Amino acid sequence: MTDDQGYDLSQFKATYFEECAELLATAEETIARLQDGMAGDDDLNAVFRCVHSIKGGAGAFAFDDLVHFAHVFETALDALRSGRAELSPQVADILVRGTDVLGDFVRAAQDGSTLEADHGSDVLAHLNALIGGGAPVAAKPAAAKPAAPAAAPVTHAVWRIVFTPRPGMLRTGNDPLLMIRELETLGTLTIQADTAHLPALGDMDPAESYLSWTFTLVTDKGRAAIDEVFEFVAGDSADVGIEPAGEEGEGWGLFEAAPAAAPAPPSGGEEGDGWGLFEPAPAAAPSAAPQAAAPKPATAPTAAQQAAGGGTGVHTASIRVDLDKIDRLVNMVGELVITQAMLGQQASGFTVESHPELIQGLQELSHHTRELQESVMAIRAQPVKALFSKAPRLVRDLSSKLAKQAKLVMSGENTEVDKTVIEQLSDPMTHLIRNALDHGIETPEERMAVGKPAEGTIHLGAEHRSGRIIIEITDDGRGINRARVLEKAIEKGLVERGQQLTDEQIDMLIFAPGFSTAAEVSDVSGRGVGMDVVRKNIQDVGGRVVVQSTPGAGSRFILSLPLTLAVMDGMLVAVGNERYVLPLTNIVESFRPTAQQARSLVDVGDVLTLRGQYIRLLPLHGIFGIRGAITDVTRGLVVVVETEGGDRIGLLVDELLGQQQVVIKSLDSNYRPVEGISAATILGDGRVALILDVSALRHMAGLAAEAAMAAQ
Amino acid sequence: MKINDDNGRLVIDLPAVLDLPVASELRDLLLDLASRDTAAEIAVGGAGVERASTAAIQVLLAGAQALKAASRRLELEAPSEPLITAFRHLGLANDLNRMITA
Amino acid sequence: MGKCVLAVDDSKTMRDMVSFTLRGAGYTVVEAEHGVAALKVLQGQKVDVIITDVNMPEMDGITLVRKVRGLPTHAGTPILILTTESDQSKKDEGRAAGATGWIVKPFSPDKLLQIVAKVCP
Repeated sequence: MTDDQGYDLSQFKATYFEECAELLATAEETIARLQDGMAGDDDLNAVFRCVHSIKGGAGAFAFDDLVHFAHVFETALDALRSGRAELSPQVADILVRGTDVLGDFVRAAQDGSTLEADHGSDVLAHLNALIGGGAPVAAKPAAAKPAAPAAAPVTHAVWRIVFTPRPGMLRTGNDPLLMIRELETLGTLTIQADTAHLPALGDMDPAESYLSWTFTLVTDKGRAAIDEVFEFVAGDSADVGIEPAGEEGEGWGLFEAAPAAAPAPPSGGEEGDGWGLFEPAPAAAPSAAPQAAAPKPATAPTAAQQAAGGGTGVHTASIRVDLDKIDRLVNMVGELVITQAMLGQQASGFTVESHPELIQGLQELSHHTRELQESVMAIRAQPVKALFSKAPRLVRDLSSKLAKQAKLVMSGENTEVDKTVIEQLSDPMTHLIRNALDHGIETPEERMAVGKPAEGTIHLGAEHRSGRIIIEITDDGRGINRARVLEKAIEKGLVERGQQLTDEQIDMLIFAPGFSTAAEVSDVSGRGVGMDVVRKNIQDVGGRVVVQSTPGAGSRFILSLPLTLAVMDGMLVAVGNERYVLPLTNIVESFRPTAQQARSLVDVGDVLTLRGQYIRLLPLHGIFGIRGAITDVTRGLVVVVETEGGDRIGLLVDELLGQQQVVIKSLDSNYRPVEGISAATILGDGRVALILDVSALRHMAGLAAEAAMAAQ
Repeated sequence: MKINDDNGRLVIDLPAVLDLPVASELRDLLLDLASRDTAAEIAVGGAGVERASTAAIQVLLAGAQALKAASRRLELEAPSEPLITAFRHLGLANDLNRMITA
Repeated sequence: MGKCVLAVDDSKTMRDMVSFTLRGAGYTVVEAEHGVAALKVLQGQKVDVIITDVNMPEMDGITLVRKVRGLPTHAGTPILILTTESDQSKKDEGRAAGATGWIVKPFSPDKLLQIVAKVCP
């Protein structure tokens, strides 16, 4: 088990102490001005923020003594700031001494030493005196919640989690260590154990749980992520109370703490995810009820966000980086993934028994490579908002130009996708919106004549679906005029007269090269640039576009693109001597059919029965003309794959070779487009494997079936 | 696991995996040691631990308390990284420190 | 060293799926086709996680969970039961028998890996 979190935490600490040094210096300077009597309210605020920032970080790292002192200091400063106490020269001296003592605590925390128990107690007494009639602050438990610096970016929330396992929990294999390990991955975790119920050794049943914990978690993940950690035990094997923790009861009214993460409903019923454990018995609902005082979920600091020079302004924790540099990083990570796969393959002959360190090292390498890659990809991920933001103006301008009325409805603007994908989407999206307004939405008169509202609606939506991003552009216009499309296609020689086409096939004709449906080419949809260009742009980046249309009711264009253009998780399959990669997101299951399951239907071709359903069987060796492959269904393996549309087909392969991450190399730019293939990749052994395009394969299966039907 | 006599010190070397059965065995060994009428130093060797568990750490805590009650001390020798991490994760870093340092 | 998972299911497909996914992620996988075979495996070796189907010939998954909890060597070993969406009562039975958690079939490879990682000590 590697301890990544510990590593992160120590890195954080270095930053924190650097900042402490700066904050202390700022506080000292400012207090010196106070001593000179040259100070204003802003200076007191500045000192307050310095102390507050130091306290916030200290809370995250559980430097309890430091937190305690800083808390009193800060409360005293607040009393001064709010005028409840007066700033005299004597008080200014106390502040100087307070800063010194604070520095002592910081240094003690830094080098892990312990100060005498009463260190700074005289200053503490003075500070408490300043606070005056308030609550006895010194009595407040030292394990204070990490507090929020004023005006910090509202991205983190502080949660207090009270976790009390019931005696039998350990026997179900649910070890608190596992949950704490998971909690720690969510953010900065402070852990407080309660060992009060630990019995004498002789009375102890080692399989029973006697400890309980209070965690303070600073995280930018929501409540649901925390619930998930305890999903296996909450309510059944343990009592779990999760609540937002703030600076409750202190009433400073300083923080503009927008609730970053409002408490979600208790986890109980969230089972849709396909896993979990035993929803809590109602009687034992987690004690998560927010306190009556409605504590604000405070914005909370990470050390990094407690920017230096506290109080001098708002700091956003981001930097601008040249995209070229990121691209270089992405490319190098891509190469690293290949190298790692290659090493893995080279070492496949070794066993854990014979080479434990090698195998372990490779596993760690694989793990870290993947994390590195995900981190790098996350740098480039952006919400599609940037793309969508162009749409309202486009719709407005075009509507007036075309004398049509249309409103735009958008959804999923925050869906994130790789920046390069966003760039590739821009033109096609613009074109499809134009198309919807130009050809889809009718004039207000036409609409009213058919009983529709005068104003048409265009819906622009984005969502993630099975590892891809789906952009949908839907209009409630007239739909595709299939008769006219067919006529045009025949005119252009794309289709022969008398050829039987399904509605779906007719609709897809609008993407055929050189096709244009407008009776007169308007200057809106542009001349010469047709849907074929849209489709080509999308296909160039491994995407697909389909259209669904209902005459009179409207059309829906669905663009589907990979989330990133660089890598994907794939399953390597063997067909004869060839290797293919199936995107993991498409795979439903694999099995070896029995003779009873495999059969041939006269009008459809080969099918399999699986749990009472027919699945069309597509032997890959047949599609790609591979010799030497297994042709007997009962001797090969069938991989059931699902397309974005939800259709399932079974692909016959010889065997599955393993799951691996592959770096996507475009076939179009390196070779030429091949039907049924979306891209290629280089395997660990240097061989090229083709990445299968499941939707295209399904389409081919459909054609094969139709050909079979035609042959009847 | 067994109790080794190392020049008058009584040492239990922990195995790599501290699962429930090991926790149970460890409890019995520590009980045995706590009941012995001896002034010998008692130590648990933690260098070989690859996987700790809450159950085992509870036993160590209770063992330390039992010996402390008898004015003796349970020392944890050379705890491995996973063992230290487990103590830290359980919020027991201070208890660990007390068991490590004299 | 790779953690060892025991996959118990009478369906070879399911066992293959589980094995395949887990092996790809570096786990060692031992397979058994029902509860009796699983217990035999556990007599010979220690495993880190057990994933078991519920409905199996010879010995069903719930009985297996109960028996495993009685084995001194595997008293606290995480056990995940494979259930179907509709079979709510099996989850309760599994919990009562001492199972750690459950996975609803069908599941994606990622889901499986995520849950196994969650409970794997």
